Amino acid sequence: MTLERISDVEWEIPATGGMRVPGRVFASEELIVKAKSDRALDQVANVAHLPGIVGFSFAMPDIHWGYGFPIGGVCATDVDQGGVVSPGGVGFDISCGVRLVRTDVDVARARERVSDLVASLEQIPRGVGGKGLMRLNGSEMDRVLTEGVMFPLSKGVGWEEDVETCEDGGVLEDADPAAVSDKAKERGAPQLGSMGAGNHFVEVQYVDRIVDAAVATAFGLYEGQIVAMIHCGSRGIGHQVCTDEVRTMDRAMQSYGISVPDRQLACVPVRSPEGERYLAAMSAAANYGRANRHVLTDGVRSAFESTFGSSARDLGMSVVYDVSHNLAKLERYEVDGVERNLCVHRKGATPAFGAGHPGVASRYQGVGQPVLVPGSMGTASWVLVGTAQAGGPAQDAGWASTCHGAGRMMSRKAATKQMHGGDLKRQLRSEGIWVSTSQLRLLAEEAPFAYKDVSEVVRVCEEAGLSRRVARLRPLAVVKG
Amino acid sequence: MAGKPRGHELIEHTADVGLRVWATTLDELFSEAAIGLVHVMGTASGPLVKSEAVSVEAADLEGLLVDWLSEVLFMFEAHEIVPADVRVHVADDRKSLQASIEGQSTDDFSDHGPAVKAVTYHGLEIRPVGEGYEAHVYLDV
Repeated sequence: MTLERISDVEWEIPATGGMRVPGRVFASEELIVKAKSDRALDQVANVAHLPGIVGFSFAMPDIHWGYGFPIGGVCATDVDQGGVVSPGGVGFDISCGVRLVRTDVDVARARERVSDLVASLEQIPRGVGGKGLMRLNGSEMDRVLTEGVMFPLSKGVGWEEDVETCEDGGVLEDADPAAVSDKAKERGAPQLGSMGAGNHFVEVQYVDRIVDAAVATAFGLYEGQIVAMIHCGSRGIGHQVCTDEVRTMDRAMQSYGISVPDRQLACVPVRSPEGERYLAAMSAAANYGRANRHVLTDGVRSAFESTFGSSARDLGMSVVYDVSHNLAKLERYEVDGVERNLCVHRKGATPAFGAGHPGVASRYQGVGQPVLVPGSMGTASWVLVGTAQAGGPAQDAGWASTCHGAGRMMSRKAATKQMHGGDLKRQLRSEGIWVSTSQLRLLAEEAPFAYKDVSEVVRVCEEAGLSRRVARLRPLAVVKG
Repeated sequence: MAGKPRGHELIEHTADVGLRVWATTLDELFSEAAIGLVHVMGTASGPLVKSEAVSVEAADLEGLLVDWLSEVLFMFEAHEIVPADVRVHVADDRKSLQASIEGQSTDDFSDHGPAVKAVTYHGLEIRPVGEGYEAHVYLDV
């Protein structure tokens, strides 16, 4: 594959064959070498085949090999020019994302109580087939799908103000439970308020470095403070919605005269019965995802309350932000001087709206939207701030998107060969990091050495103008799904 | 592993898990794939207390494998059955199948791997090999 260097942090894959636009990868020399090591760049080129794609098929610096879309892929299609929506461009874990809860507990106090805190956090359901904290009766599932975080809130779970710092106010209005199959509802019904297994976690972290003091203050963050990060998604309901819809589109796309280089890229025009149904079902699953993180937050607050003997309010445990990195959204951008309706797919990429952008919660209008970037255990996580201006040059800048994590560079199997989970657990403990896992093997699969260097990823995002660094977070305790 | 007339093993993939499955007939291939899917997550012991009967139809043979495994995953998660004795009959047109599954309850399941979220079409392949068939399928974990 030909790769042309555009700048220190940007590379172009020229349009060849059936590619409708070129590919653009944000990466440094170091990161592009890693991106070339598997089939991720071929996947950037494959996405460029999608009908109606505008500008470029983008990849963020944490790009890695996915299925269909690369993880870290972003593309926008023109809704009014036959542009398509592809469920594979969102992924199976619809609205998978990160929520950050601040506290006024300082790191020294937390270190004294860390084993109790871990034991309390272990009460949060996790693992294969884990049942959730909140049980739903027959009609309540549809309410979750329609109301998002407003549903658990109506049951007295969580705080009213949590809604203000959740992307979209915690609910996507276009959701339609009728577009979601009974199977998907059946899978999701017992799981609300559970982590699942794999790369999802609750992590207790401390702020170890402030890069932008003014923005950190606006986000309620300061050095030496404890925060809790929740990384999770929409569980079985999202997985089943994507399964159902990829299957539907795999069959329907021929009737729209569409062919794609990888079946997992199955897609139909946004303005088609199948396309509209997918977006309604995806939004419903996304509402479940946000409600899930909201209920998990309640579990985290309870764990802190029992450990520190104070109320969550007295501990200052408000939500900094909740943002998804697997979603498709209809957004308006000016392209070549004309305002257009675009369907922006972010598959392992985070929206990064800057100050004054209408997509930013009112509380953060003056500084920009928080971007939450989980590292892997033992490495740092980051809080960034979006920089994309409304009406700014989004078509060259990843459609107001930035990275979503460190990005894997080693397969799960290779990681388990490198180090046994038990040894890794001991090594992390010697570094002052407590780890609780449902399985030691999964721990090794998610080892820090299996991921790219998150600091390099966020540095490149800043140099490329996608987002700016605000604060670095170090782990104290990790409770893995 | 290899050498046996029927079996499965993992394929390396950066983020997810690939499954290579082989068997002498398509019926056995589909049955083995169901067992392999669950082995990615863990194993069960105990009596076969649950049973399911299911029919699946798709546009082609590869799509049938994805739809079948998606169905197995759904039954595992929603109906809490761990497939152990799986009998599959793939129709002559290779676009539908009928299956009966007996298995343990997920109460008797112990996980040793990641939860499989879904079955993908990425890199999907079924081909004749020697006396039988081989399939490649990637799972989202």
